Amino acid sequence: MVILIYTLCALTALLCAAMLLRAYRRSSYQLLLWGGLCFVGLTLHSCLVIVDKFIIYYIDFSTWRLVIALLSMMVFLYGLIWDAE
Amino acid sequence: MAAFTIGLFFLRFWKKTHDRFFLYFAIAFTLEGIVRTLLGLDVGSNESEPLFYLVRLVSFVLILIAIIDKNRETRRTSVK
Amino acid sequence: MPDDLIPEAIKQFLIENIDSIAELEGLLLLRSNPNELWSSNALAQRLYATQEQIENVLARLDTLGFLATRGDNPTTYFYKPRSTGLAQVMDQIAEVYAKYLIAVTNLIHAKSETRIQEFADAFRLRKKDG
Repeated sequence: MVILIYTLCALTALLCAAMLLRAYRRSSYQLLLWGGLCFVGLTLHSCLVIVDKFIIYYIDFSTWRLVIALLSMMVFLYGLIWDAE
Repeated sequence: MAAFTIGLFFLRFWKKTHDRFFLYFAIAFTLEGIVRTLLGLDVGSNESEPLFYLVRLVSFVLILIAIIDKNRETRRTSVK
Repeated sequence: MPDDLIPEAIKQFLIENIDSIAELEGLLLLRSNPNELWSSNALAQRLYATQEQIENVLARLDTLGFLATRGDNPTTYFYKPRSTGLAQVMDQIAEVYAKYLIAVTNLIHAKSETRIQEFADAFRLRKKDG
């Protein structure tokens, strides 16, 4: 159940990242880059939750998860403040 | 906290453009902010507890709905 | 509050499809003269816009299914919505625009003042301009 949900989260985030980065390549709108990177980070985060809880038991990824989630948000926030127009 | 702020930005964009796409994202990020805050407050809990992953599910489903809604609107003009 | 005057469906339609007042004016003008053929030059003169602007506007409206073309050099356009649904929406828009000019122009201006709409547009699977 948990795996299913976080897989969905990861796939959704990946979709968002792909769409934003694809649009960024076509236009020069910086916010698309920051948004895209944010969702890349959120994808990684969701994947890490799955790996951490169900696949690799001997490493604790909690700090990694926290850092990646935080970084993703920060990057997006930076973009929203400076590049959103 | 960052998630809440991002949510507020999206709320502002929704107010400005009236595109409900931004409203969906605003709610999604606000929910994520709530999850993060609750996780931060309660040291013993973790992300694989039902409360957290169910709320997360809702926020990602909202994002999916936003994307689907946006693409349905495009079709509205070209198919009908 | 002026935004409540426009029905939600029309509002979303305008946000999704109309990028500028020039576009809307041009579209409504062609709609009121459905038997006339318009070149981008003629329409540009009528709307006091540049020909290049109007060329883009007309091409875009054609792609979206509002207009049809005839001829090649120069290409002329006339009002021919792709479906009855589209024609109905246009009728509603014409009515709303006549009744609530300020609300509609504010709506479209708000959209073009910032680029943030591009963020939402990034999530379209099919590109808006065909």
